[in-house]
Amino acid sequence: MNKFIDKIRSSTAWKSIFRSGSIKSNLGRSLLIFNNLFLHVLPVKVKEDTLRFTATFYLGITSFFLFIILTVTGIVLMLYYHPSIPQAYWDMKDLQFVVSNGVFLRNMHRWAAHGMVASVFLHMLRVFYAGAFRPPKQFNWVIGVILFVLTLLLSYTGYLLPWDQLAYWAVSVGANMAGAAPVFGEQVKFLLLGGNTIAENTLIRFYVLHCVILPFFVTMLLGIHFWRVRKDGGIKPLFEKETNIKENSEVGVDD
Amino acid sequence: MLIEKVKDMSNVFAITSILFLVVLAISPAKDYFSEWRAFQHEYNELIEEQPRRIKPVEIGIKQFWLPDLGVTDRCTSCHLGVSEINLVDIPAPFKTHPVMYHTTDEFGCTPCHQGQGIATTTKESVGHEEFWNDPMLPLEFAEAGCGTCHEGGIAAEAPVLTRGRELIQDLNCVSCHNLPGYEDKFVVSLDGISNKVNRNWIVKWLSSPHEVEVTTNMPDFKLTNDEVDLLADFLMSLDGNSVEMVPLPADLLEEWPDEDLVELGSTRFREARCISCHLINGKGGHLAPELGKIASKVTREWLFNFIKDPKTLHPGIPMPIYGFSKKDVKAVTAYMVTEFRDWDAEEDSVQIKHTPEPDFYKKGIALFNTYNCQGCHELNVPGVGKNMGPDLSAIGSIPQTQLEFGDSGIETTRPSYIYNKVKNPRIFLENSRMPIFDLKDDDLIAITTALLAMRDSDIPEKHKAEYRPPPEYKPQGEFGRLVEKYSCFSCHVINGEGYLLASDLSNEGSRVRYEWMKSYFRLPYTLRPILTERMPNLFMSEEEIIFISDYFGLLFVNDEIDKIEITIDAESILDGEHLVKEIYGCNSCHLIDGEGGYVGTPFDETSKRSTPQWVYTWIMDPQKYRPDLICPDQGLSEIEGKHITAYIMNLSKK
Amino acid sequence: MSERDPKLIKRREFIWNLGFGSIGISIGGASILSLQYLKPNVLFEAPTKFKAGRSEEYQPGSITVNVERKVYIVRKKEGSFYALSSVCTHLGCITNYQSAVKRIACPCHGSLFDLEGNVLSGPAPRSLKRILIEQNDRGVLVVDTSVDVSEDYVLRV
Repeated sequence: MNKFIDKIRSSTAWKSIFRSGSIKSNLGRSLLIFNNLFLHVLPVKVKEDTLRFTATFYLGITSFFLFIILTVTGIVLMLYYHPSIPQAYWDMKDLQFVVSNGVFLRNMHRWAAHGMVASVFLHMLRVFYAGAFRPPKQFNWVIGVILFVLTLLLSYTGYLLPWDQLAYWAVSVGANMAGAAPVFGEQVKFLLLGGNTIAENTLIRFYVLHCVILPFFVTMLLGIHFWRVRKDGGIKPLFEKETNIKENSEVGVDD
Repeated sequence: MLIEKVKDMSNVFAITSILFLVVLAISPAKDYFSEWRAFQHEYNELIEEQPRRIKPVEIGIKQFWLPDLGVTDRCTSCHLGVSEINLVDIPAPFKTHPVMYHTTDEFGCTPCHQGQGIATTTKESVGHEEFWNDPMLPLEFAEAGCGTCHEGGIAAEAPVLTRGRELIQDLNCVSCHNLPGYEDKFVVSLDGISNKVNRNWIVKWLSSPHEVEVTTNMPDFKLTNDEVDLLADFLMSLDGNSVEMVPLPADLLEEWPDEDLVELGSTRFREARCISCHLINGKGGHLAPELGKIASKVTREWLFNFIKDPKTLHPGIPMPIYGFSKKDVKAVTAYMVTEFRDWDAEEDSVQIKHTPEPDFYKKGIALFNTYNCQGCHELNVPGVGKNMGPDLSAIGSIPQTQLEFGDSGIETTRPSYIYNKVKNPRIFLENSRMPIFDLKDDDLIAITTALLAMRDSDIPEKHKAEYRPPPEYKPQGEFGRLVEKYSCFSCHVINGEGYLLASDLSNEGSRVRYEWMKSYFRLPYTLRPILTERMPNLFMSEEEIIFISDYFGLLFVNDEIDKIEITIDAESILDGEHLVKEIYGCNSCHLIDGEGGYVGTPFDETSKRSTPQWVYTWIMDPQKYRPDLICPDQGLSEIEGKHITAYIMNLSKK
Repeated sequence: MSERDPKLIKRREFIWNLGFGSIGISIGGASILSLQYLKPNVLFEAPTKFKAGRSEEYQPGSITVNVERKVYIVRKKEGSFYALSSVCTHLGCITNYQSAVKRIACPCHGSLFDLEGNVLSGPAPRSLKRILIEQNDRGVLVVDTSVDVSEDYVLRV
């Protein structure tokens, strides 16, 4: 088994993609991380203390995985969804009644969305209580806050798409809240709804926001967010163990 | 070391993986065990037991998609035998649909039955789904579906709906509710009411109309005694605006008029056959108000004037103006005031003197408006206005969430709301002003069905049934005046207009002999002894009789009938007799030589009355001109028909 | 240490395999579920079978275009019927009937057909598809665009 893996790793195809040589040495391991777009956001070395469950409650990674689930299920759900009135509602009903596994995917999308809002919020609390917003992590805290807002906006824009009573009135309330904001409130509301009432324009706007614009920004900011975690000195655990500060054991990627 | 710990997490890993697998298995399991799939398998097993071979269903969701009707119906995923003709005795949901007037390919299911057609579970499709605006119509109200598109002309296909529409019309619901398609109908005007009735009667009437007159359409407003007093005072103060009345002649002023006059009145009363329409002490017709206690209700002066000319006092009333002489009018009035008294009321005729409240007029008019009396009764007094109830033009599609059920505890559905509201209008709100109509259960269901059909439906016009109301025939000139005077349309139909209680007169000229017609107008006799509603003696003048008979003879003819050739000879008469008596047994209903039944018209008189052409037409297809006739269609051959005609025409010549 | 116990190691390996096994089945199952999801169970398409009115509504020697259903209904001079698909056999454009020249022409690449559906010129490789036309027991013509028939099929009424 290991021989087979070695053979793949020494093949030209593998090397042309990953460009790292042996991973037997520390240098090789570092190069593997540095030279890979996907892996380079991860630190080469991780402090064992930060991997404890109580250090982070794994809230960040949970949020990230929920985001992945949302993206996958969301894209699949788009295949049966027309953002128009009243077809949007009939499409919901069709997912429920006639599309194989439609209910499962829709429920997955819905619960993952609720879960993501909760986990992002808890993640923020954890970071706050760990004091991880202190220099040099101020910038990443700000990005985190923006990501939290984007998560809420994703949740809000997705709410309208089923085009049922709940959707309509929740968005009415939300839009009026935006309208109550000082100075530009009314203009923001007008732009958001694409008119004065919640209608066809609003639905398509929310659809584009929900499926394209907001996910795009979330993806970009997530990349920066992860990268900055490493650049700013790694994770700051909630409860630091006194004894482990002196001799952190280091863990490589492979044994 | 951490790496050791990770290696030690095998348990956690295994458990979460299995959990993941189980969660993933939920969706296909739910699909596999779905309700519709089970039904389709059951159906396929069931049809194998059938004597006739029926094509098994391919497993999968079935649907009708009709974009221009807005229909996506998946009902046939479970109702698999709807279009099969041989599954009548199979249990639901596989049963053959009873008589279907539309094909499912063209209309789907929900345009008629309502319900959530896109759903694929019993609960959500035909069950009571709280958040679906049009849940399936319960079967007893199913004809409401027909009424959504059909405005009329479906009496045979949808009897309950048609009955409901008639009731809504009769009860004059349109006087308080906006109900497109219904007409405000004739109800007695209240102008000058104090000249007509006395206060005691009004009090009794307002307190409980049904006790005074069982058959009245006037509903019970459940007025309190104070309200009744106020309204009675208000109504008794109305003496203006009434039609000029002729003062009573001297011989009617006495309490008990002359006996000879009463005797003559009694004869005229019988000749005019008043009891064909009026009920008197439990006997007679139900078309017009009861007369048993009329003398204690109306004033003598009013009664005299009414008998003289009912249409001046009550324009539009279905009662004819009898051609009574002055003396006859006096006599009938004398007879009625002598006989038709409320003897019980007379006993305690010590009238309790009633003093009205000082502001009774203001309060009375307010009360009059509150209960929208103006909706039915005309009253031209300043301050009276319409005060309508809720608009019901779209009651059949009103969102169920907008219905206020109060604490009535009934089922919270639209049909249940309408049914219970009509049954007991005060059920949801104690001080509701809607009166109680006291209807039977069948009538309640019929009315509910008709109201459920009042829908704001989005079915496109091209799919709606075109309904042409029967042509309106309005005779003009002198004939029109006579038809109006004698209220012919109250009982007869001409060219589709009128009320079919007696015969259709559209072909009268081809039907009866001129001489007979004249004699009949002079003195009508009963053609069919079994009937209760009989042609009254209208006391028409001779000129009028000749005019009407000429008019009928010249204008109401039918060439199709007139062109038939009938030869009457001995041979055909003999064969006809054989056919009538031996083969078809016509004498079980018809009198022949004074023997036989009393259901049909006596054959003995036929030849004096009818033309042979008409007799032939009639026996060949009795229902042709009288669809509701009970005389059986014997399916006679032409020769048989002609021979029977010859026999009948020959009968009375003996 | 107890970890060195060979029995324990075997047990642990089994549990790992159990985990990987279920993950494997899950991934396989998920792909099947996704495929199921992608295949629509109901179609929002007009049925291929449709009623085309009574035969008396068609003049002998006439061609009637049904744009919605992409069908020509032809009634020959002697009274028999046949139906042609109006989809060009070249690349699927919808052909038009040119009444002036009594030809069926495709606007995309200029294929030309006669009223029998035979190719006269242009890139079309085959003549127009002839489809099933029948008369039901009420005398109404029924066309089914999903059923092809041979080129000499006609419906006699």
